[in-house]
Amino acid sequence: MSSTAARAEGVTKVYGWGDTRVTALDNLSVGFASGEFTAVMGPSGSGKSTLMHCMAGLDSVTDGSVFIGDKDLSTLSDRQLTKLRRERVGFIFQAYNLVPTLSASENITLPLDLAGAKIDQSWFDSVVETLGVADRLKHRPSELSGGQQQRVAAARAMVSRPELIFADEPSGNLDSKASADLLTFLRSAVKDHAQTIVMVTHDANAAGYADRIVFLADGRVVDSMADPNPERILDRLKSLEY
Amino acid sequence: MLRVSLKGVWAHKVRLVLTALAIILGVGLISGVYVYTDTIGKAFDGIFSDAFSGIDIVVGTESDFAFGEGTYLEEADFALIDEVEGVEATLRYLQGMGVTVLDAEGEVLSTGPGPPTFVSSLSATEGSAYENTGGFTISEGAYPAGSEQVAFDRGIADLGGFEVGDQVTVISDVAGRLDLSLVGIVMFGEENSLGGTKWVFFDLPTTQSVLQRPGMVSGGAVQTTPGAQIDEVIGGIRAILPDHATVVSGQDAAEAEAAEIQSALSFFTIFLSVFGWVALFVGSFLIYNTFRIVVSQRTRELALLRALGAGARQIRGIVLLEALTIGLIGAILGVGFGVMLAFGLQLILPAAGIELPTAALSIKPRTVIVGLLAGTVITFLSALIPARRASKVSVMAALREDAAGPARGGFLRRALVGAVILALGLAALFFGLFGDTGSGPSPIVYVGVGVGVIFLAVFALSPLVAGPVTNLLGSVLERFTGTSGRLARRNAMRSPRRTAATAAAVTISITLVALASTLTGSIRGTIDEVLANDVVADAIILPAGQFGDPTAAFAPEIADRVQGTDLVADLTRVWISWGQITSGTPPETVVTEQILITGMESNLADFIPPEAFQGTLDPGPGQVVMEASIAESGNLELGDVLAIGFEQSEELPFTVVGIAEGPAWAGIVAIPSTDLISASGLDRHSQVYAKAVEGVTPEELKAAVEPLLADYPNVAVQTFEDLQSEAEAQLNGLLNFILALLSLAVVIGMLGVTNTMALAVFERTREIGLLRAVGLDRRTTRRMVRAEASIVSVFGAMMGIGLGIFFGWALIQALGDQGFSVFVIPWLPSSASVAGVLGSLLFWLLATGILGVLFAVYPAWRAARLKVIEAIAHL
Repeated sequence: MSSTAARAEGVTKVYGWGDTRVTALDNLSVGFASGEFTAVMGPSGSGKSTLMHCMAGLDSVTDGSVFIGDKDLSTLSDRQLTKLRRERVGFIFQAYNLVPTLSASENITLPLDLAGAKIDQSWFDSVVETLGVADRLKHRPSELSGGQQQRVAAARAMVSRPELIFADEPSGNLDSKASADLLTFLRSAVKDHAQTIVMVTHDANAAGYADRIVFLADGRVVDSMADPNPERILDRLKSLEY
Repeated sequence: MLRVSLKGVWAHKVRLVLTALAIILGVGLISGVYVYTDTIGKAFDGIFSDAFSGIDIVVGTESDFAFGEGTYLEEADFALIDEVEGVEATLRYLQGMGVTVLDAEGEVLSTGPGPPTFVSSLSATEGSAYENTGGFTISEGAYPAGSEQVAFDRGIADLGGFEVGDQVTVISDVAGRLDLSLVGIVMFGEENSLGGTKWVFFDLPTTQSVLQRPGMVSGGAVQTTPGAQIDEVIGGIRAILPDHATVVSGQDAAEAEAAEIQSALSFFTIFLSVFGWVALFVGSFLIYNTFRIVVSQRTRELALLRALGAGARQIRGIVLLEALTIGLIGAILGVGFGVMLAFGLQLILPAAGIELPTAALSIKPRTVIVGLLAGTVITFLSALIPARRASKVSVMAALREDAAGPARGGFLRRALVGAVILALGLAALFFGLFGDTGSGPSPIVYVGVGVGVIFLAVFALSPLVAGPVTNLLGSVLERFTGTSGRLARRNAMRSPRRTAATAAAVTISITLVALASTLTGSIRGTIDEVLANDVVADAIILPAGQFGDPTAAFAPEIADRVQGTDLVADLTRVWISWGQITSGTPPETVVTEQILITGMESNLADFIPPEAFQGTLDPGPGQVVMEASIAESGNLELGDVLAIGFEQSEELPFTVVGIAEGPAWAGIVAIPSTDLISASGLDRHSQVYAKAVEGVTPEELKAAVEPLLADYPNVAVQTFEDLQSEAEAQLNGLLNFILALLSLAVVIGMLGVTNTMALAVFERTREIGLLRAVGLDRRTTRRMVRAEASIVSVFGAMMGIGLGIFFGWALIQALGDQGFSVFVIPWLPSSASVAGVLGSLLFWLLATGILGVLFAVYPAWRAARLKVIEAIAHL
């Protein structure tokens, strides 16, 4: 097994006060191995999105520690967290991934531009080629299909060669063909470029592309599965929900 | 429905505050001006009713001329009043202008440009019927008696630190230097000074000699015997006095004086409140834009209301009710702010050396009504179009994703409509400026309508250029700020109509700023040109410290002293008096009601050579020369005979023998000095021009002449450079004053930018969250918002400066024959002073960019403070 790209140690996340108090993560510990495609699954309210937000430095934890590489996120200021996000982490959200005023190409290089980093042109070319958006680079997001938009978002996540990519239901809004294209690309990024990807999903078909699945329920890790296939995943989900 | 509206208002407090602020500032300025001028008016009413209380009948003259100099009555005629039946006692006085008070150091006592100094006789009233009548009363010391005693008003005494018993110096324009002993301090009822004017008092014979009006009085007060019918006594007095005398009851006189002050004040009120209306006009763009954006943001909410059964009229009602609520709140607070403003002015102006009488603040119903109506009606009107749009939201919009997308109007249609409106506006403007309006409305109406229509056209057309221009501005910014600049540029370009509407508010105020700058710049350019090319003299001797009085003058002795030096090669003296020109045989037409008549020596044209002339410029007795535009306005040609009336003579006939052209001759009507002296009764000079002998510089001439005039601090020896810097200072003062009044409109325009940015940040919450997630830090987020505000503001300023220059140019073309000879676009500061910089157009371009950043601090802070997770989840 290779090294750990990111891990959570005894993480608790509580929202609200008094009657509205909700424990989203409950003393949760989990690690994501480098070069692995991990899917995080669980029923609604299981804390899978909260986990991803905390792991990515988008949200703070109430207790415990989150590490990206060896960096403890709880020790970082907002500026350091922002820097970490643009240099070491990539994001793919379910929808509205792109800045509407920027072209596809500008959206892809946005994290690099923000960091003032140089663009590796051959890497950029190979990423947009692989994702099939090379001929759409000059277009605005409103001129792209949903599938194209998500692939541009994937290209943005890839282009800065982050240590880790977080994907939040990346195929949630796509038809099955576009969904398969995107997931196949993510799969190959892991295989060909040893990219680490953590994907939150409730779709068993999507999770089937992962190397490993972590199941969450009530803010805790309840199970994990290596080399999954959709049937086994569905069986396991059923046992979790009922 | 009311509840929905009120909740809508309350749910967006920031928007409420910003929108209301625009109303508060505009209404505040208008009602503040009303309260302040009403208060001054009330104070003057009090002064005059005090001054005339206890006086039964007031005798005076029809004062046709400025500054209350009036015409005069023979003292011998006045003495006859004592014989009229029913007259118990009389008191006569003489008033005029033409003295300068010196301070303890021997310099002119002055706080800067301000009201002039008057002279009045003051006779003892102790024991008489007029004791303590409340007008001019000795509050300390005694009445002046004899040629060596003087009394000052309390304002002069305080300013100069004088006390009763001090030796003081007063310079009379005609009688020269007077060393006097200060024997009394005078007050006007409760006031130290009468509206900031300075008053110097002598006994009647001394006043007559100081003013060179021997045997004359301005008027007087009459007390009737107990039981006499005032009307009958008035009739009796009028019968024995010459036609130009006026005889009225004390009460009528008080009312007439108060009415005169009121009409002077009403000009002041109108002038100042215009700036309040401009501020409200700018505010209406802010309100329009705010409601437009809000309606498009709330499309889904409104569609839901439609789906639940609200009619189109009800939706419109909700939006308009919201506008009315905000307008009413803003207007109420605005009136309150106005009262505070007036209170503040009462405290601040005296500290700035402007003494006006004070009284308890006068808040008239008119002030409150105008303020409340202005605020609510303007808010209501501004929200009409957005409300109509809101009512057209379809039920389906509730279900569609992209409902809030910008509506795209036809480019061509907009361009066409805009061009037609522009053409109409230009036509009206140019017809007003250059056309012959004949018997129709006055030219100013066409100009006003033209300017308004051109504004409308520019706002109709500006969305068409908003994209390219903001793109260009953004590209410049992007070069310096990188990604934040690029994001800002794209944001500014995304809705050209919104950008244009936001910029419009900035445009209006900057147009006025640029117009003021262009006009003052052109006046400065004209003065420089006249001094450089059209006046041939090395030094000019002028009265000092008598601001605002063109007839201010000094004793003839001064010119003699200057001529006595061997550095002076040539010299010419100029006498100036008020006069009135009529032409033709009866029925006569008045050419000019009130004009300065110059008394000239035969060599005047050597010092102010005309560009061209007909006839001669050396009029003999009974002959007159004048500038071409004056001749034109009276249809006068060489050989025509006109009549000039003076303060102190019957109308005298003059033959036109010369017509001159050129800026140096602007406004000049000149007759031989001997004629002017005999007609006005005054031998005193208002200007003396001197040329130095070969090889002597103006500075050397000035240095040689100044010591000769050391005992006359009321005259100044000035070189062209001195005159230039003095003119510069006066222009700067004027410009600063106008800019101070316009600053409110500028602030409201900028508040519009704040409002649009705040709404844009709200609208783009999700996008900002995304940017933050992929690595936009807080600082860059703030910079992005501020940069966009800056781009929009500068776009507005560019349009404003363009319009301001255009209006300035058009105005100067139209006024060309009234003293404007050059058109100057003041891009760069005229001097290193604050005012010099404020007059520069490039400064305003830069300043609006910086103001844009400052006024976007709050929205930028809000954008940077957004929680990333919540922002991403925001829909």
